Amino acid sequence: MSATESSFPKARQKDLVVEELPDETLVYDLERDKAHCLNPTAAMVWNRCDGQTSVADMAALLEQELDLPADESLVWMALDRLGKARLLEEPVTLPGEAARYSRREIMRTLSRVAGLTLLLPAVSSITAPLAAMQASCIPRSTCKFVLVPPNCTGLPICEQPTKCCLTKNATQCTPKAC
Amino acid sequence: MLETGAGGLAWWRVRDTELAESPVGVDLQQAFRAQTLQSGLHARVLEEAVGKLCSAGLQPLLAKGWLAAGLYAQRGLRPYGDIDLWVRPEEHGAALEALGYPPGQQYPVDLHGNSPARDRSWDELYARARPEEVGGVSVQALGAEDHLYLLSVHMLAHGAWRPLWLCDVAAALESLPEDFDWDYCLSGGKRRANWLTTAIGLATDVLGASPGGLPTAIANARLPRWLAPALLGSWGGGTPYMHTSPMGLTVPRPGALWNALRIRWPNPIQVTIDWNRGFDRTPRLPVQFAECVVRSGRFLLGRQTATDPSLTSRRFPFRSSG
Repeated sequence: MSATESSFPKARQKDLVVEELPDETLVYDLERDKAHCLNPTAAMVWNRCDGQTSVADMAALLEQELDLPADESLVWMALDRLGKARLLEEPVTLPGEAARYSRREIMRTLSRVAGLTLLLPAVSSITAPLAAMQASCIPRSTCKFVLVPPNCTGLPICEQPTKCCLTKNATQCTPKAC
Repeated sequence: MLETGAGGLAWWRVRDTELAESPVGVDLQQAFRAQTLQSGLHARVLEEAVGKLCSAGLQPLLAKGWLAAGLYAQRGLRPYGDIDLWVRPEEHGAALEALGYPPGQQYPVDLHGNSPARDRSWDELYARARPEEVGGVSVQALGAEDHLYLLSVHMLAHGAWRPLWLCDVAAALESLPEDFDWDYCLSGGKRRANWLTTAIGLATDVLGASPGGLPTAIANARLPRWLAPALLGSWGGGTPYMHTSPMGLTVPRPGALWNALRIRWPNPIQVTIDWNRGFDRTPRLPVQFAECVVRSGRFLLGRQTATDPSLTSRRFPFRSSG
């Protein structure tokens, strides 16, 4: 992707489950079985990645919507992180000018406004075990929907949903009311 | 907290406190996030599964996990392992076929072919069902009255060992629709009313649920003294026996025998339901002892095998995890 194309990034939409919370956006990548948490800055940039909104426009929106400095380097930082998390159609290639921005420089920009460092674009991983621990056992089909396969959160796995394993780590199954 | 599925709820409680930044707080928040995403995954599964069932001319009833999660401020607060759907017994085979199992197991769906509510006909259940939108499809969900009963008795039938189940009852009580029909909910026999009153009493007394408009009979009911300690004991008691290895696997290892017997000592709440008793002041010890005798007899007769249908036949139909 050229720098010009990178200026109009496009968010990936296929095979993603997106859940929006008041303070963050959660994204589960079905293709890679990875879960991500986007803070408001990263989420705002990601939501504007429609292939038609330029980086400059996004920077302006940062100011309008999040009261952040309209600084393109912030947008590039977010795009870089979103790209590394494979949440963009194509990873962005930072133009020469943007590539010069170091995290420290961005921090310096943000530090002019107290408290804003918390709004640095962040895309973090979610690694917690999932709700499958609610069941005494889980069928293999459920395992596909658990965020950290193939471990399946340490629960025994059975081939049939009407059965459960005798013990953790066991391979034998018995009727569910065991 | 995490093991019992209450991690998300714990996070919700501490999210605005200094504990939120602690390592434990971070773990709880991660659990909440993971559960929220799991809920999104389940929505897709449910939408697809319901679509297949409807295409096959079947009308499933939704209850428990997914429906219970909707009672909370955020779906991610209430985790569940699979999606519980009910179909009429005569439609169970067709429903399994529509979903592609056996042996495909395309979906993490627990498909029940028995009635989700004691003493209620399927026609009654469907008459009180209400539509629930899931993605692009509409599915019939158990009516509020029947769902409160199901949540209550499911919790009691499992010995109430998971705190989340009592939270479900409390959340259901605090979300009752204005036209909630208490007369219908409590009708159907003395035992039914006793179990429901007991579950509601636990939710109000132990969790501090504050539902409005409770009937006087429920509001004034007093729980038996043994009940709250039994509940708290089961919360701190670890994994219940039904989720552990069968006794037959333990007997050859004498060292493990004592512990195996200890964790199999019948839960007083559970035996009350299993033996179709009411929650009253009378001590549970005789019923617990009787349960032990029956289980031991069954074990000695070699009937407790992995495929023995009697393991499930005496149990109430609510008995399934999640």
